[in-house]
Amino acid sequence: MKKIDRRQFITYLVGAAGAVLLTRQALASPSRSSPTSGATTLLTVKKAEPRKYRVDGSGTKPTEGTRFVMVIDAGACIGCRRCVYACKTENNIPDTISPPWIEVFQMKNEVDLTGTPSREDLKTGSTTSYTESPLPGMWYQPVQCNHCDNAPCVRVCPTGATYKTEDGFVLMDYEKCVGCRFCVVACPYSARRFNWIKPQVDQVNVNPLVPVRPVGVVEKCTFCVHRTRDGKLPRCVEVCPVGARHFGNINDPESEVAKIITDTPNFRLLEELNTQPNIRYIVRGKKYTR
Amino acid sequence: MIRRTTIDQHEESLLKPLLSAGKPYLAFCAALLLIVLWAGYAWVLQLTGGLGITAMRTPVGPAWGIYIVNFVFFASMAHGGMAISAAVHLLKAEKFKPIARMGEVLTIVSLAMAGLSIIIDMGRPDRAFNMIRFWPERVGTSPLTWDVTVIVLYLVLSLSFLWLTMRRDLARLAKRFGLRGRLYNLLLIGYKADEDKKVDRLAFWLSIAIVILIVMLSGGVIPWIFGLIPAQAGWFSAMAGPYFLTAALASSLAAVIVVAVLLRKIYHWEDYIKPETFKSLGILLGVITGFYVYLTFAEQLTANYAAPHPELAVSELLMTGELAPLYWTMIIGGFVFPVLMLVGQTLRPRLFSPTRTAIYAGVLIIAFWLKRFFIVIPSLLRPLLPFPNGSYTPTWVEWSIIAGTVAAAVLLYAIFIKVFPIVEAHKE
Amino acid sequence: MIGIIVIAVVVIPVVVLILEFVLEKPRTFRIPSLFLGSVVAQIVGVVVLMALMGALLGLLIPQ
Repeated sequence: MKKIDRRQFITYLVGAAGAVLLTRQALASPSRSSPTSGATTLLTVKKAEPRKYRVDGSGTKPTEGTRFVMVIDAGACIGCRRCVYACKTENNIPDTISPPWIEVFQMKNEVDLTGTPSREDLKTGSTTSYTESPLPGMWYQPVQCNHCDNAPCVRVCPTGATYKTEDGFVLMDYEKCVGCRFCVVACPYSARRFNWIKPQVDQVNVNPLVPVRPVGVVEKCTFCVHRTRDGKLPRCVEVCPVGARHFGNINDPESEVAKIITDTPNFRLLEELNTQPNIRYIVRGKKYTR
Repeated sequence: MIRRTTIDQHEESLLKPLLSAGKPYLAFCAALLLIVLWAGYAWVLQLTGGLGITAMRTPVGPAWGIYIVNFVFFASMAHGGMAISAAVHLLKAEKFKPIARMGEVLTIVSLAMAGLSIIIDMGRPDRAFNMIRFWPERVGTSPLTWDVTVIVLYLVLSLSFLWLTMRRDLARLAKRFGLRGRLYNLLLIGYKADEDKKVDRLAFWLSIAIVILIVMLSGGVIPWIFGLIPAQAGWFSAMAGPYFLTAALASSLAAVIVVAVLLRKIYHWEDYIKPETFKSLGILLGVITGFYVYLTFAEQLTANYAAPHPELAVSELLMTGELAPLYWTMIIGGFVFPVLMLVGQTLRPRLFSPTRTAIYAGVLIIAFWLKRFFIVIPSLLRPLLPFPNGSYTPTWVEWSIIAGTVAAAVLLYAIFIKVFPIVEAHKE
Repeated sequence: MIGIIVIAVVVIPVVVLILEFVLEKPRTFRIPSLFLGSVVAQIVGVVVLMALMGALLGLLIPQ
C-alpha cells in the first residue's frame, strides 16, 4: 500500500514539474515542441527512463505520465471515410477484414446523437453502406476501438494476448492469441475484427512499422501506437479533412483534447456499461453542407 | 446349487456386450467411423483455409457459431450420469445402480467432446497450450480459463471415479479375457481384495465433491461465459447460472435414459433394468424440463415487458423475427409436448413404456441443442451499436464437424462397452 | 481476484473431502494415493496432450 502511494506521489510530482517545464519550453521556442513530425502535433511527450514493457510488435515503449484519448466531433464529421481508408493502408488491414478497424454510421438527424443508439437505429441498423455524403439531415458517427480503461476484452482473454498499457492503449499480442474470439463477443462496441482467412497484404505497400497479422487471430484499432508513442498523430486524425478528430495526452492540461473536454459537453459510447472508454464524442463543429 | 446357476446366468447376460461383437455392431461402428473421418476432412479444410470456411463473421454476423453451441451442449450432457451415480452412492438409490456406470461413461465421453468443440472453434488451435502456459495470470479474470480448469478437473475426477469403482469387476474378469485381460491387469495395479469397502467410502465422498462440481460447472463457469458479458443483450443475466444448470440436468438425464433404454433393448436386460427405473427418471425429466420452460418464459417476459431496446431486439428475433418458426417449433414440439407426455405418464400409467420415455427424451435432447443455439446466436446477431443486421446459416463444414463430434461420442461409447463391463456385474 | 474465489469455491471442497477421506479411521493410504496419483497423472496427461496436439495442428495451419 505504502509503495503505491509513494509511486503515485512521484508520478504527480514528475507530472507537475513536466507540465511547468513544457509550458515554459513551449513559450520559449514553439518549434522545438515536436521534432519528430512535420505536422503540428499537440502531444507533449515527456522524456522519461525507458521501461521494460511487453512487446506489441511496434517496439515502442510507453512514456511515463501520458494517457492518450481521442475526441471525435460528430457534428463536424462529413462521413467521407478518409479515416477508414487511411487506417486500412497504415495498419496493413487486408481486404478480407470488412469493415476495417473504423466504421462510420450514417444516422438520421431527428434522432439525437447520444452515446446510446436509438431503437430505430438498432432495429434496422444504421446505414454503413452509403455512397454519398454528407447528405442533408444525416449525422455521421465514426466508431472504433475505444481503448477502454475498464476493458471487458482484456478481462476475458484466456491468454493475456490483449492487454491494457499504462499510457491508455488496449493492444494485441498477435503471437499469444489463440483465436477463441471471447474478446470479440465481450466488446460492446463490436470493435474487434478476426482474421477468418490468411490476410493477403500488398507486399509493396506494406507498412513495416505494423506487423502483418497471421491467420486466426483477433485484431483491432491500436490508436496507431507505432506513431503516437513517437509523438505523431494517429493516421485517422491526420487525414481528417474537416478536423473532426483530435488526439492527445489527457494528463497534460495544455493539450488540445484536455481543453476540449473541459470546455465542451461531451459523451462516451454506451457509458452505462462502465467500460470507461477513451474516445469522447462532441457535437461542436458545423457539418459541411453544399 | 440352483440359485448359484441363476446368478451365473444373470451375470453372463450382463457380460453379453463383452462376449460377442456381431455384424450389426461392426457395421454400426464402421458407419460412425465414416462420419468421423468425413468431419476430420472438414476440419483439415478449416485448419488449412481458416475459419472463413464457416458462416461465422464479425461484426455483422455472429463471432461464435454452432461450435460453441455444441460445446455448451456436450458440457451440459456431462452431468446427468454423474448425478445419477452420486445419487446411488449418496442416497443409496439402489434402483438406479444398473444404469450408474452407463451415466458415468456418458459423462466422460461428453466432456471429451466439449473440450474438442472448444479446440475446433479456435482460430489457432495450435496455440491452445497458451491457455495452460498463461493459466496463473489469467485464472483471476477469464471465464474461459475457469472453464478449462473445471472441465479438466471434472474429467479427471470422473475418470478416477470410474476407474476405482470398476476395479472390482475387472479383478473378477481379468482371467477370462486375453488381450482385454492384460489391459485389466494394467488397470488393477496394486489391487487388493479388501479395497472394495474403502473404495465405496471414497465413492461416497467423491460423489459429494462431484455434486459441487456439477453446480460449479453447469450452473457456474459455463453460464458465466455468457452471463457475465454485458456486451451482449440477452446474455447478461444473473439467471444464467440456474438457467443453464436446469438445462444441463434435463438434457443429460434425457441422454442417460436414451442410452439405457437402447442398451436394455439391444442386450435384453429387461429383467435386470426394471421399467420402474425409467418411469421415475422420466417423471423427473418431465418436471425439470417443465421448470426449464418456466425459466424460458420468465426470461422472455423480462426481455419484452419494459426492456431496454437491445434486449427487445434480441427477443424479437426469436418471437417474431427470422428465427421465430424454428423457435416456436422447438418450444411447442420440443419442450411442451414431451413434458406433457412425460408427466402425463403418472396420471395414465398405461401410457408408459420405456421406449416411449426414450423417444420423448430423444426429442428433448435435440430441443436442448436448439435451445443452446437460440441462446448463443441471436444476441450476437444484434450488437449494441447500430451495425447492419447479420444472419447466420451454418455451412456444410460446420454441420459436418458437429455430426462428427456426435458420431465420435457414440463411437467412443460403443467401443467402451466392448472393452469394459458397462454394468456393475458383481453381486453383494 | 474474482477468478481466484471462483476456483477456490470449486477446488476447496474437493481438497477438504479428499483430506477427510485420508484422515478418516481406519486410516489407509493405498486407495487415496492411488486416487491422487491417477488425478495428477491425468492432469499431466492433459497438459502434455494439449502441447502435442498444438505441435501437430501447427503443421496444418499456414504460417
